[in-house]
Amino acid sequence: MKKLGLLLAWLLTISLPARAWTILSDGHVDGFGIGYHDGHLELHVHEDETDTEYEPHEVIFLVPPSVQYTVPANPLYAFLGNPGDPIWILPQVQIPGVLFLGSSAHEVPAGIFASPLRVELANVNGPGHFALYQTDGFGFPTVLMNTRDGIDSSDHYLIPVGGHMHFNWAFSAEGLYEVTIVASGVRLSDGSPEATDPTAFYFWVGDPELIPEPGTAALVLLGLASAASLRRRSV
Amino acid sequence: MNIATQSKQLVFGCLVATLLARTVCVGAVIFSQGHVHPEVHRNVNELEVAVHDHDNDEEYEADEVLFFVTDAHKTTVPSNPLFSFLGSPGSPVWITPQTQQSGKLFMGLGASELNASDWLSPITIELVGFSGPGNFFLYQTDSFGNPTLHMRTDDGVSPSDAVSIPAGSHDHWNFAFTQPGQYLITLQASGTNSSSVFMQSELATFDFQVSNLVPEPSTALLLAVGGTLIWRLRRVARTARSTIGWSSPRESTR
Repeated sequence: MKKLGLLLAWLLTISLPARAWTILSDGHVDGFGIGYHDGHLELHVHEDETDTEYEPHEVIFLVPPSVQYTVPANPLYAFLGNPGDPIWILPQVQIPGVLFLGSSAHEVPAGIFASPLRVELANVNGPGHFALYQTDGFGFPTVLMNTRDGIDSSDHYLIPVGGHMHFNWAFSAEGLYEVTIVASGVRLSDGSPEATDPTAFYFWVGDPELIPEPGTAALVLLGLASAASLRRRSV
Repeated sequence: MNIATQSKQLVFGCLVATLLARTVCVGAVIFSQGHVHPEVHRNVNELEVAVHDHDNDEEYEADEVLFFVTDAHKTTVPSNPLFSFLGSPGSPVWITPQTQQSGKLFMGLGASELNASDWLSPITIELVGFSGPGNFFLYQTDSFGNPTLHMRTDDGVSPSDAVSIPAGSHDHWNFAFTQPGQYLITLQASGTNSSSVFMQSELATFDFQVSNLVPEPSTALLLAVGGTLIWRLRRVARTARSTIGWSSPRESTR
C-alpha cells in the first residue's frame, strides 16, 4: 500500500500539459538542453532550426517506424539486446526526415560552473529499455545510459559548458517512454554543487497516429510504473 | 595585449611555440581543439562558406583560420575491413572525431545560421578543390558503427564529394588525413531558396595543418618575415572593420 501511495503522490506531481503536446518529429533539436535561468541550471528543449524553446513536458519526441532496425550480430552492440531483436534508434548523425536529437549546454555562460556539467539518468518508465550511446570514428560504441542493467550513477554523460553533443537514442519496444534526468554542476565561485530538479522528457516510439493525449499518457505511465513496482516486489 | 581564449590562439604574423607543439603561422586564428567548423551563412539571397566557432559563438572568414590537426589526433587504421579506405591496418591517420573529445577538434559542417523557412532545399556543401600530401576523407559512422563516406580524395574530386544539410542545422563528421602536412580544402555551398532561385556561394578554401611540424630555422625566418609583411598589409584593411579584439605587440609598447 505504501508503494501505491507513492505512485499516487507521483501522479499528482507530474505536470503533463493540459492540452495536446507538441510533437517533434524532424530537424535538429537539443532534446536535453541545459540552460541557465535566474541564476540556476534548468532543463529545456531547444528546436534549433526555428530557434524555439519548450518546457520539457510540452513536447514529445517521435521515434518513427522508419528507424526500426534489428540488433546486429556484432557483439559490441549486445548492450542493445539479442541479435535480431527489434530496436528503434534516433540517430547520432542526421537522417533527413527524422528527428536529429542532441544535448547542449550552449546557454550556460562560461565562468559560472566548472566544465563539464553532468547529466544523469534518474528514472525511465516505458514498455522497453532505453539506451543512450555514441559511435566513434572506428565504429566502437560508448554506452552512456542503459536501463537494461538497471539505473545507477554510471548512467550519465558529461558535457562541456557551452558544448553540444549528439547521441543514438535506442528503445527496445514501441510505446510511450518517460525519461527523467538531472543536470548538475559545481559552482566555480565557492565549489558548491548545484542540480536541477529531476525533469521528465517524453518519447513516442512507433506510429505517430497513436500518440496518446497527455491525460491518457499519465494513466499509461502510472500503469507502467505500477507494473514495474510489482515486478520489483515479486523478485 | 588581449589574451586569447583557451580554445584558440590569436596569432598574427608570428613564429609561435605553444605548449603542444611548435608551428609557424601566418596571420591566422589557429584552432587546435573545440567545437568549430566550416559553416554556411549569410541570408536568403546570398550564401557564404565561413567558419563558426561554436564554443565562443564567433564567425571568421575561411582565410582567417588555420585548423591545426595536432598529433593528439593521430591514431592508427584499425584492422576492421570496413575502415580499409583509410589505409592498411596499423598505418597512421589523423582524425578529428565525430564525437567531442577533450583536447581535439570537434568538427563538422553546418548551415546553422540560415533560416529553415528561407530554403526549399537542403544546403549542399561540395568539395570542389583539394591539395595535400595525403588523402582526405569525410565520413560518419552510423548507429551500428558502419562508416558512410561523404567526401574522399583518393579517387579525385567529383560532385559525389558532397553533403546535404537542412538549413538551420549542422552535423558532425570524422575529418581524416593520411599524411602529415598542409591540406587545402575548397568548399562550395548551394541551395534553392524560397523564391525557387538556385543560389551558389563563392569558393572558400580551408587550411588544415596536420601533425606537429618543426620547420627548418631558415624556413621559419622566411615565413615569419613574410607573415609580418602580410599582417602589416592586412592590418590596414582591418582597422576599419575592427572585428576582433586584439592589439599588436608593437602598439602595446607605445
